[in-house]
Amino acid sequence: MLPNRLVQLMTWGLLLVSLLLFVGSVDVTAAQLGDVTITLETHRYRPNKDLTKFVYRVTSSASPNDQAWILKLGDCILPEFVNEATSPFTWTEEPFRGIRFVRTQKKQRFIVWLSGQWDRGVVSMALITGTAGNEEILIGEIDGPYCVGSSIALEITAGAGISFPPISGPGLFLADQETTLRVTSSSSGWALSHFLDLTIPTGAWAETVERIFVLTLSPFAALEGTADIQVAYTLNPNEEDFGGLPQGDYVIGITFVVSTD
Amino acid sequence: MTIRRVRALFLILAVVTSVNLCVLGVRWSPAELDLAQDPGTEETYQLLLTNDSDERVTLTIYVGDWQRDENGINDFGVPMNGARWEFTQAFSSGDLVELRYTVQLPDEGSVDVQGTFRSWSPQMIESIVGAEQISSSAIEQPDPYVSSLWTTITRSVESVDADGIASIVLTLRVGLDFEGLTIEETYAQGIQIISLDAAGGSFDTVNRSNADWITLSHPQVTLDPEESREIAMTVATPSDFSGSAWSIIYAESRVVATGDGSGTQILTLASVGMKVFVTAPGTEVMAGEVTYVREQTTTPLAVSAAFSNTGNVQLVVNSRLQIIDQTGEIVRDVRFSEYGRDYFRILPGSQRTITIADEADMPPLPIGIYQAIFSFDFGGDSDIAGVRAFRVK
Repeated sequence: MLPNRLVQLMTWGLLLVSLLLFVGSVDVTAAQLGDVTITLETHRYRPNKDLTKFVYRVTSSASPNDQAWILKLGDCILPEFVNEATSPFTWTEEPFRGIRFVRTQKKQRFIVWLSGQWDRGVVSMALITGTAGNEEILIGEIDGPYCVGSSIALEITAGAGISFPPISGPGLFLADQETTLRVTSSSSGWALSHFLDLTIPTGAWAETVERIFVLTLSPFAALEGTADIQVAYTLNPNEEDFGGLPQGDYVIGITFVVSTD
Repeated sequence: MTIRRVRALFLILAVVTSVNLCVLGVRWSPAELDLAQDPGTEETYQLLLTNDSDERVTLTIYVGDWQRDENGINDFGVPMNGARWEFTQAFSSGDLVELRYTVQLPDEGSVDVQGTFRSWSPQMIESIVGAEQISSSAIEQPDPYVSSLWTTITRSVESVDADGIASIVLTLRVGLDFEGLTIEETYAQGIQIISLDAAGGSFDTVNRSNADWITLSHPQVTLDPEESREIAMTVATPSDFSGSAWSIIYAESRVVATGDGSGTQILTLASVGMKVFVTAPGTEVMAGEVTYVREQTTTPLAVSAAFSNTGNVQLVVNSRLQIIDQTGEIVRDVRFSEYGRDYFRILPGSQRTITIADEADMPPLPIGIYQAIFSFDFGGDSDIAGVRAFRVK
């Protein structure tokens, strides 16, 4: 049995590690630049408008005197994505690519509306104070529209080329291996489909090949993140089917297509 | 089956070799594009294509049309700038079937078209013959029927009105019996196609396609492992479009088998599609209607509803089913959900059918009369709902 003192130390140690881990992953919902406090008040996706809303509150004790506040937007956020309902802004490239708001009040809200669904993540922001030619730029970080969330990918990680065993008569024949598909998507509800492209000998019936060829997908959920899907193949000819299968090489080309829903 | 045939088949498929292929991986960023662009303008956008595999890969990039069916399933098989008819029934020798549709001719007064048809069983693939340029000078009556062993489809231009709308007839003459038929017409440019008479088959086209507006900087790229390449996409919008139009840009891997290629083999390809929506700002109309609500079964309870998008932009719709008993008490209140989301998307001009059913462990509804209220929130001024009364016996 461990001494009480050691248990206490371990408990505090665990708490400290947990706290550090928590601090390391905490969202940056408020940040201080000089005497200006910027707070992300709201991040919400409106599915029926297909818009994502970010609301920032910017406050200071001193009068802002047309101070500029800039929110960095990553390259994946095209100008067209910034909805017209956004608070008055201008695009800027300095000190980085983003949208520039002008502060006119000590307490002010700025709303950013983006087309589509956008995750939040830590992005850069800047505050520009002073007069033209004598400007001071303060740079910090705050939660905002994050670019990492917008991609879709399909990998065939195994079984890109597969063979069938010799077929000696009617029955069920399994391919020698399965195909593994990996779909990585930033959002749920992606779509996976496939179509066939047959290369068959002269006189063969494509309809017969399509009918006896069975492709089975393992169950999957089209959710955000990565999904591995197994694809199994069988040939199931009956006696009558052989009339449509003359001698030659048969290649069943399968194109797997993934896209957003 | 005779022994001879079995032996022949054994010989056909006995030589099987392994095929060496690399791992394939393709990634588009962004996953989807929703662009606001004024009519009559041209804009260029940068898309990022990445080879996620550990091998050098050549990718073919091309634009296509797509739609969703009534169950929300994506259909990538509609020919670009074209239409598709499908028939599941059997056709007999001597059958004569006529399909009618119209196309809006472009300003120059003519447009080229090509078509194919494919019977399913037994399979034959043939080209559609007849008029290959649709214009007022191509008007002619279909040929009189002549009995033949050959199955043919002939295209003829029946009329062209003052507004430039051409009426087209496809005449199917069946030679030998077959079952199942797919017909595809593909025009040289984006064009409005409307079915007048599909002769009992299904008809599909994408009349809000923007595929013809898109030009890509690269039809093909070769990428090293983990390499990314920017693809420029130029969108030239017509001067008279409103609402949204859409298409899909595929990046498709092309690989070459390195085995000896004999026997029966499967070769897989990876294709990633980036959907591209283009909307004319200020012209959006968001509108929908509930086509029907009906109880599929009462024990266990399953209620279906159909929602139609009658506007001109894609709608994102939340849906909810409430069941109310005779006392006014809400005995079921279930929100629609699929793929971990509580909404579905629906294209303009489409209908979506959804069904909400009791979970297996739910107690059945007691005997009585109930009202099913299926409501839909599509972002309009207010929700819309369909109501259906039903009895549990």
